[in-house]
Amino acid sequence: MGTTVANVANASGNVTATSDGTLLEAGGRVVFRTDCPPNYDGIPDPVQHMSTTAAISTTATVRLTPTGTYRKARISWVNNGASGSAKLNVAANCGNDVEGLVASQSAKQRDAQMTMGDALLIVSPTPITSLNFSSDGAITADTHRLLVTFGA
Amino acid sequence: MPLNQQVIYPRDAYPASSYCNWFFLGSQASGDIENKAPGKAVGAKNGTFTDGECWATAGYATVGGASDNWAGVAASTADLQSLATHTLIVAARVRKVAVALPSVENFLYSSYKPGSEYGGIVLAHGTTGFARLYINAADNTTVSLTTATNTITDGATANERTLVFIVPREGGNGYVAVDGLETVSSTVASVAGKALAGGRTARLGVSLAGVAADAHQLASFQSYCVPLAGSAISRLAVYDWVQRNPHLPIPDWVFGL
Repeated sequence: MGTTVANVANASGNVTATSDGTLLEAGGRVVFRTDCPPNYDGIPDPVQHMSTTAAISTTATVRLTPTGTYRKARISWVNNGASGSAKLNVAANCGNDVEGLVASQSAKQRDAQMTMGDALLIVSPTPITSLNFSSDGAITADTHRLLVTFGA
Repeated sequence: MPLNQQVIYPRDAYPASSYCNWFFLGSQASGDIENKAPGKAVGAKNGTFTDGECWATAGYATVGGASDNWAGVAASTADLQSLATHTLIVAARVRKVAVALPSVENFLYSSYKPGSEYGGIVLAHGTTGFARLYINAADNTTVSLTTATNTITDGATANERTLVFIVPREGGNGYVAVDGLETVSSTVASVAGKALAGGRTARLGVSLAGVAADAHQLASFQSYCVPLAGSAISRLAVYDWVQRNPHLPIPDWVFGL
């Protein structure tokens, strides 16, 4: 089991190292994993979570605008009764919502596309100031959930 | 749940084009037609041209349909560089609202008035469905580049078309691309090296004479004056960029600059 590590004690007590390379606080909270350090999963601190179940379609867009400076966003699109083959169009940093409608003839203007049920991590060289979402068909309110986690 | 990672390049990740005269994307809900070229003039809607008319269809500026449905583009933006020094490129996405062929040649953009005010260009939709760019030098020499008939509409189906016109400064042939493919080349020699600036406010939607045009949906209407000979520009790269990136002005590197 764990071995007490000298000289790394904190206010909560000693830190212990487990055999899988994890350092734990006395209360059990993971302090560090040598095989998977913090942010290794692509979402650096700080983060901001946003979600919506509003209707989207080829003519209706949902716009999420984080308040911080983020260059990454993990987008998760969960089905709750909508079409399982629906496509979600993603457009970042559009000047307005009309510009963010990237269905049909405007499809080339989208930054990413995903299918219902997927999750996607997008990485941008410039801060993501907004994300507009539209779909290839009508997705009524509360039949889906968009969960976006923005990360620095 | 599967998680994929994708690098995106949002609109603001691209540097502004150094040679863009105007880029009217046409994706708004209201207001004057925004010009995405930094420091360039908007398309200022005529006073009786309402938001409901101009922005009736998301993703397009709908112009024409009545003689007062136009937007003015200030001379500081509409005036083009001389063909003595610059190659002219004009591109647009165009769709006619009604499928019927125009009963008269429709002017979709005009910066000169044939017969009286010279120096500029006219983007037109002809009565047989062709798209045409007239290039009128300040000395009233005119050439034109024309697509095949039935391009914008054949009277039965009106398609959105992506048009690119290239007028090399050295003359020779000018070129037209439709939906990313070069379809026409014809001589523009008579305007080679000539001035194009007319010094007047241009109109989007109708002719400068105020002749009404049928309603057309315009998007990604853009123009560049590039300080290179046409022969030094990869036309195919230009066509490809315009077709593939309808929301983005052409970056300098596409021109090789």
